[in-house]
Amino acid sequence: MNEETTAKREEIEKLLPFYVTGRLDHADAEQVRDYLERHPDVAKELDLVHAERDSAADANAIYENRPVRSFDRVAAMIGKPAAQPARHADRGRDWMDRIKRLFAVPSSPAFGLLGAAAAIVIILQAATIGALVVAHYTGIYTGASGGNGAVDAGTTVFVRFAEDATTAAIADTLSGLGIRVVDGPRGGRLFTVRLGPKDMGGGERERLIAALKARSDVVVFVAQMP
Amino acid sequence: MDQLIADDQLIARVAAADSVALEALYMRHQKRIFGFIARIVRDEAVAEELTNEVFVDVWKHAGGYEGRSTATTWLLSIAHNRAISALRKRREEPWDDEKAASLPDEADDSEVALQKADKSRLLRRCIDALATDYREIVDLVYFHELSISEASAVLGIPEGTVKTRLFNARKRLSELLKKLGVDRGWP
Repeated sequence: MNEETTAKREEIEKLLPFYVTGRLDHADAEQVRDYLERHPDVAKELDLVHAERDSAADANAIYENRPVRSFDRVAAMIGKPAAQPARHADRGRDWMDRIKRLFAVPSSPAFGLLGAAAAIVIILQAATIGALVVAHYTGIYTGASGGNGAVDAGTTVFVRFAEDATTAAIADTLSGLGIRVVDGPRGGRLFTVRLGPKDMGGGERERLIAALKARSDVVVFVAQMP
Repeated sequence: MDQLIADDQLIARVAAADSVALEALYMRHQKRIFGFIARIVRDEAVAEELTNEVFVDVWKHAGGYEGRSTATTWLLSIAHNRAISALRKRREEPWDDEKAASLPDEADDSEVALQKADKSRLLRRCIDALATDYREIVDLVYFHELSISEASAVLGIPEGTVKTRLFNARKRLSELLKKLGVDRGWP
């Protein structure tokens, strides 16, 4: 066997594992197929490759029956609560349970200072945000107010809330300025909020945007609608 | 619903700080990533933690995913880096593959094992006894069924090196089997 023949054989042998797993591109697969037809001694090596593949599968199989682990640890590491995907029939109830749990825990110092009326506003606002979040992930949300497809007309801006902002803090900020969520989230925590009527004055609009930006603990950025 | 969403789309959502999308990716890929890492570090508790860290890396760097490789390849490359880094930190003695391969099977002494000609089991033991880089390429190609270019991306080595490394790993398998009395007739 001359040097060129040896090199060609080795080149083909290096491709055999990928040939067996079907991961060669068409040209390489054709090249291997042609070579094997002309060299039955090399074709016998396919049995070895198949055996190696089976044994590798056996060696890895011990992890196949391992129970699926909870996301909780990762969620804690990134500082996010693990989601509890809603079942279709219980979607609303599941989310409301989460809202109840959220408000069962004093999530921010500001929450303790709120009066009963403010708390109702917060719960309503939180429920709105919650409904939007749930609807977004289940792909059924079409509008801002209960999924009726009617995004509120008016003067609106995009707002991204801080990752560590509590629902209560968000609701507190918005309700304090008379602003409400009409859409979202898009791409995570990006919401559309309504500042006021469509014909609101430019000065008032700028004042509200500045007020939103001033709550840097809650609002990451405010962007004007295109 | 999430099962209908492509991995690429989930990663895009993760890049937008969507933790639900990360959870979906985690549920979809954790078993594969854990198994891959566990085969490298040989310690399930460590593999568990490293698997979590892989998904934290995904959370942090999803914005850098450009879709040039599949999501699986990208995840495996992160897992590879995490596992190799952990191995280096442990500064363990290199795995004595010859010694490992010559260890008698728990159920049979080597003579009986040879008489039974249980080549499959011996081959598996020899795969387990390969040095880390050889074992890893065997797993990536045979079990995870990566192409040459995908394995190249995961390991961060040229495609030619992928082919040569696997070729050498297979030759090493033949040597180890020979020590156990099994001549495969190759190379």
